Amino acid sequence: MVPPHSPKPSVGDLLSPPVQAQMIEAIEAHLRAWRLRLQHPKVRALRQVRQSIGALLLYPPS
Amino acid sequence: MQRVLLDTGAFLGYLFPIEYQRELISQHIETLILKGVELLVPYQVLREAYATLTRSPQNRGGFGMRPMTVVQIFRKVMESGVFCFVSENEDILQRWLNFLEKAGITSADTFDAYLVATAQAYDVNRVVTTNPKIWQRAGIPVETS
Repeated sequence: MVPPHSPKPSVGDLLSPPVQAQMIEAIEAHLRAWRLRLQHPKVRALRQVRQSIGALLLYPPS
Repeated sequence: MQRVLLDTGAFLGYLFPIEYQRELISQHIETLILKGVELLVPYQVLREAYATLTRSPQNRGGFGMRPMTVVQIFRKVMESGVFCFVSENEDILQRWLNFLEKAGITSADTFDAYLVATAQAYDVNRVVTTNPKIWQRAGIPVETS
């Protein structure tokens, strides 16, 4: 039973240092993969198409 | 090189990732690009996508877009060079007729049946689709998100 006015535990209190390190590594790996994805010319080209679609929807041709 | 065909739902899912399932499709297509897969889009998909995008929102979930806007979007997609837009030919027509007859296709399923015939004619390995039923009837492996 947690006393009503006790401070909330932080993430650091709940996770052991090795688990924290694993989580950080997983997040960094995800970010690396995401950056790699954006570097691919075809993915970049498609993302640009989607951006231009957004612009066309906001400012349709007259 | 692996060949994957996109049906209309997948194609629209990539261009307009406005809901969770479409965002998943969108990510899946990008993963296929990274793997070097050839992404085929039949002309039929462009026709169906045009119909959906210009249909009014009150009519079966259309997007209500103006013809000029949709044409500009299609031109930009074509210019990106990412998709391989595959043409139609006599072989597809014959395969379509055979599949209609063999599977007893009726009503609007004939449009998907035409995509099945296109996939068979271009010897695709898999299909990215939001509607796997007809593909499974044709024995073509599907990828859904």
